[in-house]
Amino acid sequence: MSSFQPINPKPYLLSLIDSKIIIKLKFNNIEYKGTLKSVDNYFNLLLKEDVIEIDKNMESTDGSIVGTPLNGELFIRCNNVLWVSQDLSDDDDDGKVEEGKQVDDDVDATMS
Amino acid sequence: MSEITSTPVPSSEPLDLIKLCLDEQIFVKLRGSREMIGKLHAYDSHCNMVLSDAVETIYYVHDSQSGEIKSKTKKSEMVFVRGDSVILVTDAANV
Repeated sequence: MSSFQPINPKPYLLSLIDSKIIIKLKFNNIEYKGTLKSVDNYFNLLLKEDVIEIDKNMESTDGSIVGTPLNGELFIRCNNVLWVSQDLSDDDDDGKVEEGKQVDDDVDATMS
Repeated sequence: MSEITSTPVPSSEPLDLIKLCLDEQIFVKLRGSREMIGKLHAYDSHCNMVLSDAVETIYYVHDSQSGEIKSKTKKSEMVFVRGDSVILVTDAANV
């Protein structure tokens, strides 16, 4: 039997610092894509300047996604977060982003 | 235990962004399709905040058939924003 190595929520989020992530909010189908700068004990999140806001309801008919760049560091309050996951899509060609969320389920439970 | 000590400890934490915004214009997105821009006077760990010269923009569906969205603004000289309605905070220069 292989040894199972647990990854706990906090170390997982800390390991995502400085990498591209996707944050989904609990409501309005909104996601934020950007680089994670820091996390605190409540799992409040701070994103670097490259963050874009994606309204999944505004998805255009050809499947491309409309993203609004925010041009500044962004603080997201912990209670609004549904899940956080590494952004596995190709490096941003602004707005047009591939879906790449195979690891979503790993973190679904961490935010409740 | 080893994985905790091996992960990098962030030099700053998320609330430090808000600390840096003290006495600056900030943009706050709130629950209920509201946004607020104002000068940050004080905050706490719940994101309760006191803003001065605040402009609150409220978005609402004007025509439910066409789904047309309109907005109205409210100005207040000084306002307390309860932290539980805060979604995100950023410097107002970026919006």
